[in-house]
Amino acid sequence: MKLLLTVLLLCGAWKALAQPITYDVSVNTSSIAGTNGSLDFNFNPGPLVTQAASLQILGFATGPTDGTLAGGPTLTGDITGALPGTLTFDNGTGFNDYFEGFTYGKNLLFDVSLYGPALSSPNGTSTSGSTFAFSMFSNAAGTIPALTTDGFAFKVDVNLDGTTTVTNFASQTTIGVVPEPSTLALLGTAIVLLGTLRFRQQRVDQ
Amino acid sequence: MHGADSCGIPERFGGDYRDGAALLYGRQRRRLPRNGLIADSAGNLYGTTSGGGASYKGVVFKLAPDGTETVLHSFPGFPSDGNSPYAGLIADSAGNLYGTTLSRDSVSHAGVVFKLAPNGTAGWTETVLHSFTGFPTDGALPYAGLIADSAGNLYGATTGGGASGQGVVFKLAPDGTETVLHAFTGGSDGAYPGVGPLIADSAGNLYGTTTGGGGGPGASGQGVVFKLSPDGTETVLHSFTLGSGGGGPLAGLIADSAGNLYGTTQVGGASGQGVVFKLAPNGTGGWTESVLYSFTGGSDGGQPFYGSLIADGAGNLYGTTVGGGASGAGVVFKLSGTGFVTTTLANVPPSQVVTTAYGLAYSRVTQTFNGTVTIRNISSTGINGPFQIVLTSLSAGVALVNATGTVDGMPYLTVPITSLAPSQSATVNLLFKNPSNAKINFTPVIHAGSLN
Repeated sequence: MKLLLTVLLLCGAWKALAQPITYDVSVNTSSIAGTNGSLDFNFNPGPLVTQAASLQILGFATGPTDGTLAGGPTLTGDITGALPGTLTFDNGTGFNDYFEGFTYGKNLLFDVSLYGPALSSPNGTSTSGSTFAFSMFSNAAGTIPALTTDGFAFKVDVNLDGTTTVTNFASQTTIGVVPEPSTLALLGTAIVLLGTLRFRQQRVDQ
Repeated sequence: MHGADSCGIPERFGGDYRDGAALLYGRQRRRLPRNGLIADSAGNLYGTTSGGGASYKGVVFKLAPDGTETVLHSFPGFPSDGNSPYAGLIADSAGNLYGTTLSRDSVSHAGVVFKLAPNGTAGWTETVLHSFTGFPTDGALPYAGLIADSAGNLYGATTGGGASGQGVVFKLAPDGTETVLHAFTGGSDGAYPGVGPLIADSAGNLYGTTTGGGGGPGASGQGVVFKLSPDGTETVLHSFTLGSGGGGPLAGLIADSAGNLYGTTQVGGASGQGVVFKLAPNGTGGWTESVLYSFTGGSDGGQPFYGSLIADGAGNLYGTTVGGGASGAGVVFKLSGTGFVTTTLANVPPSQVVTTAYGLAYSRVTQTFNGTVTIRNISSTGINGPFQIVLTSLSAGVALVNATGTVDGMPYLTVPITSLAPSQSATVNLLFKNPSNAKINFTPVIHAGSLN
């Protein structure tokens, strides 16, 4: 049992080290399916002393069910990539934004992964976090909000202690934490060890 | 509001400007200091002379606390450099100096904006950031000094050039791109910006004076006080008539915490010797001028010329004139009872309250950057409120939309709680307009108690 506890503790400790924090995002857009709207992603630092952090948008799904990108996105600030490929944001400038037209399907699916010094090694001296915000609009210009009153579907705050806080503004949005591969591997190891221990215990009992 | 520190030295102060310059330096080789000085944290002073130097075309100098003068740059003039810096300098956090020269010895004689960068033991390296080409697409003759925003953009005015040849207000981006924000027409919008540097408010609006134009009498008018919004829209706040209200303002403006503007005119007033004026918002979008003092040209001085006013914490204003006084060579004056408002903040030290913030999410619907700021009592005792979070050094061009008010030109937010117990936190929203999408920064100062 001690071995199992050790493994589980190690599992937690490893997770606390430099692992990205990834969220699986799903938005039920069936009520606005077919609408030629637009999407906005921005990841900005705070107004005080802010530690470096990065963010990626991964696995953005497109197709008849998931919606269609209009192309010709507008990129501002510390950002590279284009949807449906990976977008990479840094928080080095005040406004880091990706904006693109989008025809909604029934679902909107993508992952958000946050990483960098502010998450892996908080310096304890910063006084501002960074914030990722995702907004949806029902027009191509991005001026008419969709699903919420101001367009914000959800936001993720990077806290000063390296944790993150998700605030969901739209009831149609579901956000879940994606376990990291290493965490899964350790969990698998723990389960195997647990099984082995129980097997040995049963043999001893017999 | 804030402006470049400018303690103007009148051109003829001391009776003979050449002697005046020589008095400052102890020699006549470098002469004609035209404007104010700036200082670094070590007490060194930096300034310019419009004449003298290796090519007799002006220098940038440094004056150590022990009186040792070092010429940082001697202007050779055309074709590679400027000539005759009239305005003072400004400095950035890296110690680079920025200024203007009036001429370039070129055909247009339009002047330049220059940068002087320290390069270690090798001295200073000068770079011409912009050469003015003058009429019709660019400014000419930058008598006025520069101001800068947090993004590194420089702003200034030229007395000539522009589409109408009546001067311009310009912006110079860090990449060297110059934009003429407004070209004066010589009509009701004014003509010939003065020699004082512009000042800016927290929303990025620029304020300045012109010596001509406006709705006053005379072929060229009697000058205006203008406001230039970040999108380049000019508003005339006051048009001088040369009568009792003064005329021909040459110096720059200063502003108090209530948003009132103060300046001088070189002529007009009860005795025609110039005035000290105040412009106050009238609450309905307009501005009202009041004359605080009208010079007689006698022992009280006359014709306040170059230098902008400065103020102390007691509401006194200080300035110079080039005329009047015991020898008729000008005076340094103090004007009390001006109504110049300054506010003393009861700051809560950072050892008692920490301030933190989240990132700023951008809303395309409201075109605002939205966030929160939190104060937390980290002391072992309670602190009485209410609390005011004063946003000092807010990035230029950025406006706090949901500000409770302003104090000394700085926006503040009220945290409406009566007290903050140990470990207790309080959070308020931040809502910024930031048209240029610049990095938003401010230094929070926590004031315990009410303001206004």
